[in-house]
Amino acid sequence: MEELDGEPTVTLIPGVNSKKNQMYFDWGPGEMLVCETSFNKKEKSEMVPSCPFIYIIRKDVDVYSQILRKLFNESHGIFLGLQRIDEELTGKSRKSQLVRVSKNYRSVIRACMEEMHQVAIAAKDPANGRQFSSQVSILSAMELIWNLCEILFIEVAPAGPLLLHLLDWVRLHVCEVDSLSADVLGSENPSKHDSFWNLVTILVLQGRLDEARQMLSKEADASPASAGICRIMGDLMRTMPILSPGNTQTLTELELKWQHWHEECERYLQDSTFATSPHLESLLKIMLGDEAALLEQKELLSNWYHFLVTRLLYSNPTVKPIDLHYYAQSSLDLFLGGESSPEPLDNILLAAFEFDIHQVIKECSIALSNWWFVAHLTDLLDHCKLLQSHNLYFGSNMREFLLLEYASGLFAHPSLWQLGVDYFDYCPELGRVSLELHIERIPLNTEQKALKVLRICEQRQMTEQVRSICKILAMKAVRNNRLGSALSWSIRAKDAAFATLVSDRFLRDYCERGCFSDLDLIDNLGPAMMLSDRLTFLGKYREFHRMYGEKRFADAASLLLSLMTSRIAPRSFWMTLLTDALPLLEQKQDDDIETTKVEMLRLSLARNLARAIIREGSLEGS
Amino acid sequence: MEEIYAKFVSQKISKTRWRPLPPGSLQTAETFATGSWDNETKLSVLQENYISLWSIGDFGNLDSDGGFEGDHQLLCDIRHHGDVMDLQFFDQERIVAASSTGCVTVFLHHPNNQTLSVNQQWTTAHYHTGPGSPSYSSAPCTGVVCNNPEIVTVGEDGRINLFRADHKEAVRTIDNAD
Repeated sequence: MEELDGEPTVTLIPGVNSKKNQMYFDWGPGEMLVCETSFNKKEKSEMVPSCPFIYIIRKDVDVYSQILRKLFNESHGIFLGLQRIDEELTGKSRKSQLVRVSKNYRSVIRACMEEMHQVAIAAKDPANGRQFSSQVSILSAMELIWNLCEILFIEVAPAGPLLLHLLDWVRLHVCEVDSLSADVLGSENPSKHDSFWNLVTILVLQGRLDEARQMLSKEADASPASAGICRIMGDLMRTMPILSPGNTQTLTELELKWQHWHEECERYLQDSTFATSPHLESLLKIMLGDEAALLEQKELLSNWYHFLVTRLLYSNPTVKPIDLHYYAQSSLDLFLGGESSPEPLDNILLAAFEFDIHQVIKECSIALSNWWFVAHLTDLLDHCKLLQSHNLYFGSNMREFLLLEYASGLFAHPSLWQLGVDYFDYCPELGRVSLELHIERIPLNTEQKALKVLRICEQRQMTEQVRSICKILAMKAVRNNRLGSALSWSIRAKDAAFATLVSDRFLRDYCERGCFSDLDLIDNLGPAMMLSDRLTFLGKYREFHRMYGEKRFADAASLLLSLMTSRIAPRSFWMTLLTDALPLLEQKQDDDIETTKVEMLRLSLARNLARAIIREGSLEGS
Repeated sequence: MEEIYAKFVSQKISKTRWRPLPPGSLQTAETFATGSWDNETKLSVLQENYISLWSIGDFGNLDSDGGFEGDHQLLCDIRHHGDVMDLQFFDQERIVAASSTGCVTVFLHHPNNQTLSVNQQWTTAHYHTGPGSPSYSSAPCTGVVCNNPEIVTVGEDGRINLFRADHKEAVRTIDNAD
């Protein structure tokens, strides 16, 4: 067992005094049962625990969120699509499909973020608003991590394109730029706006040099004195070599050009060309990748990974993936500057830069309250064949373990269990067994829901569960005196013993009331009649009544005879059968009837004799 | 191909019905009601089922064919105890819902302030063992039809009830109709 990496969080249960009395707990499928016992640690035990309540504690409340429900449902569809991707596909086409799946997941997260953001703004109660806002931050962090994993593990961007992807990543997640830009550009004199230079700086930090140049041209127009140096800076920005997607130059060519451009920037710095404008000079230093200059812009950068990407952009744009983690670690240390310690998010991102997938998943599992994220991400990475298949000590691999946990969480929700079924389907080792256990425990309050559950079981040939559920429903029906319902459930369950029980009830009812209930069912049993002897008798006996009612006395009589001669009639019914024979015996019909009548007489006489002998015998013996 | 507008409502919808138009009206239907199911647990009341009224029209968005464009909007909703097994419009303003708890409810829509309220309720319309007995057990009401002023309901208890709007008790009940 591994040691804990950190102290577990403590949750206080209101009303329970754990210092005084011992607590009792038990695990449920998605929650924990806790109560106080009367065992006292120090003094004598009291008769009754002081806290009279039993508590149910649940960690995962996300599953009850209305907005997150959209996340669960839509990602379920994406998950299924991913499982069905043709295994034959290899190489580029497979990779592009997997990248598309990853982007789909991310767009769902973003959609939920957007919706939750709207709700947070519109919330009337500030506490509610705060809760929604923090949920938005969590979703944003999830998307940040997922995006980075997509770049590093799924896209597997090589040196060159790697930096472009990282730039996109940062631009997507540090989005104050757009509101700042709108502010500045919307004002009368943009270049005189307070935040003008902040805007230009952040554009440079994000590598958006075209936009920065446009800003500078406004400054050049507004103050002709600095037009000259603005133009020079603009030219520098324009000529910075970058790898564009359609570009055919090799990495070495790019590196060479970039080195050349870097030296040109150095010369301008040495010549103090921009000495008259501190803003422009600091921009130049940034473009030279000067760490001190970059760290001065901590506030605009707002986080260490932005710092990392900017640093790479202006000092090593052709960085190789395997070298990333050196820069990542040092960027984190430089940015935090020893003032604060890394947050869980920082550790997760670092682990990703180190290409340590297992560490990423482990840290995410600890930090997040719900298995959704790690289950889907791990499943996707598994499809990219990135997870070694070393088995965990409880028999399944990591992907399956996480999917099982997630699906079990879904089953704890009254509605979302239907999603959980599909997740279990794609867990080859323990999925079926888990599904069998969970599906029997779904509360069935209407027949409609029961039929849905049964259809799921029948589709998967889960005959044991079908039988079990039908038996439960049959029992419920018997208790509620719905005999017809009980009979059809026991037929569906192929439960002979129960069918016998219900048939007995039918026959008893008949004896009491003189008529049958649920005629439409009994009349149309068909081959199901063979399920149990008693049921066969019930069906045949009813058939006898029908024939008699249709005045087909010959057929009725022979049926009655066969009922008597076969052994399926219950003892209690023999009198009834004989009584039924009486009117037939009385009738004056043709010869066939006569023979039948004679047969019946013989039979009843013989039976009577047998009974008499037994009686006599037992009397004599006593 | 026609446009399809999808909106995620975070509920499993069991029934949906168009609101009937006034006789002789030439318009197409604009309002519909939905009922949800499978949203309650005994242990927590974090969620419940809802009857909701939605509108698709008359926001001034008509496309070139004169059809309606854009999302449907939620007008109002109201909590419903138990799964909504069936839903019918009784008339322009009233909706009848059949519940898995055996209760039949008439909801009234107030167009002036866009709210729904409970107009009438028959809580023990369907049961296995009656309300008088200590082992009272309700049965789901599985279907409902309306023909103003009458409402007929059926349930898993094999009972058919005939109700009349504004009458407290059932007008007629047929037991063991199955």
